[in-house]
Amino acid sequence: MLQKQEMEEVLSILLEAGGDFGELFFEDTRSAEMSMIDGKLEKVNSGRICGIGLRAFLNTNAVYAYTNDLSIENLKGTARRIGKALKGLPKPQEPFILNEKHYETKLPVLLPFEIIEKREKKHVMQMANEGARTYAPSGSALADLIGQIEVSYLEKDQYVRIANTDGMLTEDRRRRTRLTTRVIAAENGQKETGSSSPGYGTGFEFYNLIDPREVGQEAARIALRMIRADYAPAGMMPVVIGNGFGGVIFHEACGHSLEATSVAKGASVFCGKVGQKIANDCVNAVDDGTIPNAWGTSTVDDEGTPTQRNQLIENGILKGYLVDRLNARKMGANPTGSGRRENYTYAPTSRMSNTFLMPGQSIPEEIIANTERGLYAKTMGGGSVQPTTGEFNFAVLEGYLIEKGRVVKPVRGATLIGKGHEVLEKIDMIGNDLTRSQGMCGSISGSIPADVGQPTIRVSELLVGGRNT
Amino acid sequence: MNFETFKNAVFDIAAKKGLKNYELFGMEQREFEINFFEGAIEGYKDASSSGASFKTIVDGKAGMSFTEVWTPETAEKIIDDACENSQQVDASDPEFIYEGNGSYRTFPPFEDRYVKLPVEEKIAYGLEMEKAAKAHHPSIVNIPHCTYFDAAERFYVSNSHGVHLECGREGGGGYLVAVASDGKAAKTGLEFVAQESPVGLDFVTMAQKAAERALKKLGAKSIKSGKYPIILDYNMVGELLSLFSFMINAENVQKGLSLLAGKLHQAIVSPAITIVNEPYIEGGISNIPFDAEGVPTKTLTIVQNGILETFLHRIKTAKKDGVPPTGNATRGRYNQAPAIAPQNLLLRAGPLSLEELMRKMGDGLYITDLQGMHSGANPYSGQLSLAAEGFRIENGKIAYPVEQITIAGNVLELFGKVAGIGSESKLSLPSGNFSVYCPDLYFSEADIAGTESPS
Repeated sequence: MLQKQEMEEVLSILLEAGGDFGELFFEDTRSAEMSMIDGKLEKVNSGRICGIGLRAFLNTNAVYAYTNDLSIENLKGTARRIGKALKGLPKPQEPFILNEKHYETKLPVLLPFEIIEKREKKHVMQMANEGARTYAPSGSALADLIGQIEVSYLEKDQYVRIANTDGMLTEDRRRRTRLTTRVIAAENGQKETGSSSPGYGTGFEFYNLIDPREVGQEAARIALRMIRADYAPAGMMPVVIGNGFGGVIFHEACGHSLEATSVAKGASVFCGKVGQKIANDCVNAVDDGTIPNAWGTSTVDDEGTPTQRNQLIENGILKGYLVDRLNARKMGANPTGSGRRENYTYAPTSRMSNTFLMPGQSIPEEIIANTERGLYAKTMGGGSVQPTTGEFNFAVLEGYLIEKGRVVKPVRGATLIGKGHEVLEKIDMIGNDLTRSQGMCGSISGSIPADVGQPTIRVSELLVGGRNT
Repeated sequence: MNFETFKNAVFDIAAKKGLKNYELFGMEQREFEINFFEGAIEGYKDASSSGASFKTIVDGKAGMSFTEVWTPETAEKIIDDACENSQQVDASDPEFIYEGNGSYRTFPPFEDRYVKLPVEEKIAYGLEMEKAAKAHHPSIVNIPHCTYFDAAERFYVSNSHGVHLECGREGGGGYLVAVASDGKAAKTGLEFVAQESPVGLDFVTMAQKAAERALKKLGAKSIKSGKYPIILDYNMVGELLSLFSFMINAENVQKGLSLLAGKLHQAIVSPAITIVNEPYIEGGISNIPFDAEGVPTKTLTIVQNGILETFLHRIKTAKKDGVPPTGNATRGRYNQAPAIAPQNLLLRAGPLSLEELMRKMGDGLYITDLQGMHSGANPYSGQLSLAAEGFRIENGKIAYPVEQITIAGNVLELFGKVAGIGSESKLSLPSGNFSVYCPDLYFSEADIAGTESPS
């Protein structure tokens, strides 16, 4: 690994060559992935990535390079090359000294992955498989509908060391694991899927906290519920969105548009709206990268800034954006601990961590009982958004039709679309049952772990994409 | 250490440990990218990386391990890890290392032409495209993304049966997102160019097209829910074909994950449809003479006049089905296990221009954008439920732009309703590690939801 003095030398070159700020990001990550089909372990892959990303700024311009040739000569050459690309005037620089700073970890680990034997990891997967396989009693009509059961196990141990020309030097170790089960139900040539994929920022002790069988059961439950469902109706209607992963609606409809990546360029519907009312009074939203051991937590972000709790919306008023170092310069704002990247091959930018809507007063049953006719989107799939226009879409994994305040039948194939800034105004009931769920969020700095979350909510009107009868 | 030295170190240790059946897959890549914003360089990336993955097969069971660190110590470590990983596997279908009895097509030599372009020239291209998009119309108010890029990759496959292969490929181009605004609402338009050689890249036309795409959408409104005939823009046909590539993957078929299992030599879509896999398309960026297991790639007719002729195989799935491998093993990066994918998936063009397709359709929708493929399109069930935008077509002509609608249905049912095929198969938006070439397609009916209340 690079010595402190070597880092100082490389960073100095970034300044000498023309930058006014330089940053070095070292990463050494070990990971393992196993996949099982119908109880048989099919693939085991493990390994290590190790590299360095170098970045320099001149005012609001940025250059980035990465390499995994970690020789000091190569790093100096790379620093010189990208520093020059900034086209700043080479200038003598005040020497700086890196001061190492340690923070108490927000991702403490009790059972490191390397002390657990692979067959124990396999056993966890077998339990998830068993949960799915035995969800419907054997011999029952439903048991015959269960087709393939796919279980995958992921562990990742990422060590990062970050230094910059402000004299900052820090490190972070992020260990995360996730168990995913996908069940396919089949009948009459049709297929439906159900899935469940909890994850956490811990070591193997995660599997002491959850029962892997329940992960399998949940996936089987959704697949079996959907295979015989009618197709969802099409049109505008009230939509009740379930807690947990339902929070993907806020993530897509609003969260991405609050990232400085879009805001700094004037390419967000929420530009210039801080202090203004952008949502119904009942809406309070938070991005919190500090929650101990949460999936989207880190001790410092990928620019070395300690993570923090960012209030995004308070009683319907926009309080602030998610800001990384580069966009902080462009916006005249402070970084919010939101500079994130998948790995050293990406330059960091502002991203969400654990983002969720705060709980309200209603009990979930009351929200459904108050809905005359609409869709109950109990479990959500993923979605996407165009921050410039606020147009979002996301898929409903498990949906039900509500009639006269009652859930009357399961429906499949629904998608929800709308414009984020319009939907925030239409959130009219918020439950008291906040939970968070895990997702992978994709954007320009790669695919990163992020929690979404919310209590049960109701949107008074949303376009449901389904079929016309 | 370069790949050759690392490979020799790995193979020496593997032989000493008594391994008989193994392979080292290696990749070296470089990428270069400049992002422009408001006449200045906003971002600049100049990067390279390399890595290798070792696979060993013991009793038909494969174990894998990868590393980006090429030293004698990691050479031993990846062998030990792969051996340990193989011991956990209990899959019943055996894995194989390629024995190397195929012959390879000769491709044009890898020249690394983009590296030789001066950076100043690349900067000029970027500034030029941003300027062209802005100058296109006063309603173009922002260019949030304007990027020049190029990249090169070198692949290596070496194994214990004496196979030693090496090839390089490159590509470059640009993309641009333009935002148009009429003061009430904003609309975006995306366009790209990508090709193997820098010669003849036309950034200005691309930028103008992106601006035009955004402009034309201004004033869009939703429509009433109902069943409409539609024309799907070639880029969106390409997105739907990515679902299809999941279904023709023999690994998914054998595991019972594909709707096309058991459908070989049967009609699966409209007889107007023919789909092939091409290992080489002139100017393409996904061309390769051998696959990730070292098997020669080849032209393959997958669907002929609506009839499913073959699945895509790698060695393991081919042996299971008792057919020759089709050369479709792929690894996006060395840290990924081998999977199956086409090189260039091509839907054959038909006789009609876009205008002729519109005239033929008369009344309907021309869909230019679909959102939500990764969540609203299910490759297992074939079900689609996607956000869409485009244009209302009346009397064979564009009447007005349309937004806030959804399209729902099953991808195979939809492709059963093809009523007209566009006259040019074009490279659609690159996503994943293969290319898709499609024409515009006219479908006789699709399920559309809109926010307008029924009258």
